[in-house]
Amino acid sequence: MTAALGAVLLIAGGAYAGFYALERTRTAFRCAEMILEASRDMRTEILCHRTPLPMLLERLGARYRRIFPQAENASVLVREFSFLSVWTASIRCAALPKPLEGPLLRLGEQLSSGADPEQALDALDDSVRLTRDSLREKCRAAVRLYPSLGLAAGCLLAVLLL
Amino acid sequence: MSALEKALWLLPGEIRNALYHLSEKSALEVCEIRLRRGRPPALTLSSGESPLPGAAAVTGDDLARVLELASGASPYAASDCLRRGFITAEGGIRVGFCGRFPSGERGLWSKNDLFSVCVRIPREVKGIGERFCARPFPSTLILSPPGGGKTTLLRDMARTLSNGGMRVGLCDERGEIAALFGSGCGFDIGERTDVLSDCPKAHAAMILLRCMSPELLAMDEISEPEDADACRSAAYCGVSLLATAHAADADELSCREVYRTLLRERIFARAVVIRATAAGRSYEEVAL
Repeated sequence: MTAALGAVLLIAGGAYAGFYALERTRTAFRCAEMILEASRDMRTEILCHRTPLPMLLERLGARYRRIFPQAENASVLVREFSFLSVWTASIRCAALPKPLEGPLLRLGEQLSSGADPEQALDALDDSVRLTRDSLREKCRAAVRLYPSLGLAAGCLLAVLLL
Repeated sequence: MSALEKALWLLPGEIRNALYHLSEKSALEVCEIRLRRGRPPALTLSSGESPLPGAAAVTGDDLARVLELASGASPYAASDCLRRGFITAEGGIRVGFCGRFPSGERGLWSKNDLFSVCVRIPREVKGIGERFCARPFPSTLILSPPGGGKTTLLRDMARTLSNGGMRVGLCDERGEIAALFGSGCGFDIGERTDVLSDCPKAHAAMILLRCMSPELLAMDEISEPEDADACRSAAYCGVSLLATAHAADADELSCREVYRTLLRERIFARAVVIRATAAGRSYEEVAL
């Protein structure tokens, strides 16, 4: 009986951990998709409208709050702090997974230093697409794995109870 | 917000704080803020240049910060102007950059390239040009050395003539005369004025002549042969002209080839010469 209870607890704990990891992977995947969508908006704003960066950050903050939190007052903050520090602070507030945070921080450095915006956005898209594709594979693998694990756990429980 | 207050927001925090303590008299007089690497900031007043009290020596970071603020933290948005060595910030404030001029077509300055910056504060003074705006308006050239107040007088005369019923076409190549921004205009340029900003003068003049049927064409700083050709075309179309030129007086004007042809062909009927005196500026009308 005790063994069965222990097995149930173990299986439940394992299931929860697995579910949590899968949910984090899915959230990261959604963030990656959101960053790619934001990149398309940035391309339009910068290349077509030549929107100044502080205003661009405010617009991104209004539309993609998950990626650019606390960006409402970017135009005012830039009067006292460099744009790069305002951008970095916003990205760090978002607490994105490292593979997604790094390219966004690099984008901020490149845009504020005068690098070619189109090349900088292309580099961001390439990095984020790679990350997104690997996250998608992870999700698929997890979805294939967990039913198999569940079946194995059920068999183990049956053996223990019988 | 006054032009000086707008200019303060283009400066790093420490220099801005030192400027807040300026006397009211100095605040009204200051027309330029000059930052030179390794030296204290300086103000250009009517009495000349004097250091800003209470401010430390300017560093490369200070100059880079001015560049960031003047360009709206968007080097790509200001690259066209930066290729010419200046940015016109909101409010018609011209910020000039000096140092090692950047190579490459985007004209982007790095922190190490910058040596000095000049923030030029425009003034709007209404009424100084009214006595020169009698109708019919003869083509007029405004003369003075650099920093003499030509743009201020041009702006006021364009405003007066526009409000007096003339259709005015304004070629604002550097964005300093009208200071267009967003949905508005930083200065009062009159009810009947059409502005073409951030466009080379000669090109802007042709567009205005062909599309906006102006009665008066106004432009700042004729210095190139193309500008002189545009003035000639306008004059032959029967349009009056109001322009400025760098010259202490009419005699100095005739020493330069660009102006000699204009004088020979009597494109301009008169000049208004601005002179700096102890009491301020004097305006003298001379026939050309």
